Amino acid sequence: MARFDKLEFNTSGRPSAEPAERDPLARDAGYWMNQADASRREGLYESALKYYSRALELDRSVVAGWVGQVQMLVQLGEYPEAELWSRKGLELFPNNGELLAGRAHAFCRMGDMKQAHALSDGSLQQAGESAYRWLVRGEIMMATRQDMDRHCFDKAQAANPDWLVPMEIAQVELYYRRPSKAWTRIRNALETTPDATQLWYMQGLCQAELGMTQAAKESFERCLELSPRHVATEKQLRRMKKRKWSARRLFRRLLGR
Amino acid sequence: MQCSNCQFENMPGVVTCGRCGANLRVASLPINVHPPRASRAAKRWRRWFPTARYWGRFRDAVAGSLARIRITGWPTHLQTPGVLIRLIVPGWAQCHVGRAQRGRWFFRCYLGLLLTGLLFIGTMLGWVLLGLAVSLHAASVLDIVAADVTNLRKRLIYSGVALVLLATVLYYPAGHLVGLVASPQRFSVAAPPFAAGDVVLVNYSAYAWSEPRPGDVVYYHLSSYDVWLAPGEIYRLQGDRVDRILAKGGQKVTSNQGKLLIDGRPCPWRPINGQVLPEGLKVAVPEGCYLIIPSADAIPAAWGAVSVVPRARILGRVYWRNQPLWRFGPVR
Repeated sequence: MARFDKLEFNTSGRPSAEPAERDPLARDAGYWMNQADASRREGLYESALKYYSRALELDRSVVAGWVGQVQMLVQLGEYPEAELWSRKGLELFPNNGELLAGRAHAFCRMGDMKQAHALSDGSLQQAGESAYRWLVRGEIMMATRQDMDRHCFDKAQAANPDWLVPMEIAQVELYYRRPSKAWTRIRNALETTPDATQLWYMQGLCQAELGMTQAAKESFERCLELSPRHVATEKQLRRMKKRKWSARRLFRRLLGR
Repeated sequence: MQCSNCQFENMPGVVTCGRCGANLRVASLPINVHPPRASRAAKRWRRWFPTARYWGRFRDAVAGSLARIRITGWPTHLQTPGVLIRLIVPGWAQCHVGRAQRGRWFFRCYLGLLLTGLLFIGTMLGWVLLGLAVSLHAASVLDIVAADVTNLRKRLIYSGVALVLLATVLYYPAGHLVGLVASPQRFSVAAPPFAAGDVVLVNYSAYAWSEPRPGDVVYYHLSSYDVWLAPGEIYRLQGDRVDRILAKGGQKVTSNQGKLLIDGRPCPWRPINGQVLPEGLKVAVPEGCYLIIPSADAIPAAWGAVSVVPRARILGRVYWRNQPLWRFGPVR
């Protein structure tokens, strides 16, 4: 008998990270983490949060799960809860850089810049490097109106070339009303990943914010082509159709803001 | 055993990571992994009123500007606003600048004088003790502000300014506020059950939001009423008094054989001086008035006219007897 006769190979040619399709009972923490990641990429933060929790139910030692929960809570606008949860995570994993960054993120959104700065410093002092830490640093810089934010965001992108990073940076920039900066990032990300639904959605948001209504509509339509049941995009398109003349929009266009 | 936090390879059997201190058995710990969630109402509230965000920014801005403030020409330890703010409590600033023992003594003496003064409030001794407490506070301020000043004239000016500032900024508003809920009233003449010299505390704000109720002991103003005892002999009822409300507007009050009846039913209350109960009283209390028998005056008089007190003449509620100390307690 040959030495490698009993080795199993994936003959279908598909990626092997689909344990649920092979055996529904084999849904381990990794499976739910993948599900959470997929939901996050589609902008479904509520689902992603649930999947992270499921992953942690199976294995509480997955640090990425705790970090993911904190990140999702921040994305969902539940900052005090995110702060509380990151604190709990830090009790289990003391001085974890990602959790420190998550806490800094929550504090930053709550307006406590002093704490946010201190925690961000702490997160960057920890071993290793990650995009999230630099993203949070950049956000703090942006919130405190310092010019270093671009460098931090560039560092975040350098740390992780995944398109999720520029998308989340763009979300931060949109949160602080910098749509032109966000759009630049999204455009660059779309050049390398043109089939990412969420990127098209974000591009539409940036364009709508900049007053480019027709371009925004096209971006949203492209997003719907890629994912026909993208609820947020449908909502945006409906809103755009209903939108009438607004003094605020006119004022913003006149002032260039 | 590899730590899931820092990937450090620990010895088998150890509970916490040797490098980062993380619990190595966290995978099997019975802990809740579902994060707390904000309710829909809470999220809406936070969106509409982002107070937390603005409060944080406001606090940072204030802290930043305070840190930049430097008062030149003053002693070094006074140049930070932290010391100045702490002058509000005697001894606190001393503790802050490192003279803890001195600060503690200032605080203890001040507290002793203040509490004893409050205990004897309404008497001469009480006012003297409270005055001493204020002076001690001013001395504690001088101890910080004029620590390096040796010139007597300058020191006198400093102490005068400190006293005036403390009185106007701190003690006058505080005294005004306390006076609303606990104002001492001293009996100059005996009015049973109170003796001359007794001090009671009156809450002037008790009826600001509610109406007086029968049974309350109140401080009220009795309008001038002359009682003709004999030709050429007049007894004048007037001035501020303390007594109990027996009935309110719309009720009919009668007294018969030492019993007080309100709308035909026995009244659970007696005048504060239980000995006085006019015989043959028949009064219909008009709306907006209360029946209060001035029980300190045991004279046969037109009780019906004297005892009906309009609401506007009730000044406050009497709730505590402060002096003499052996009768210290609530007024019932």
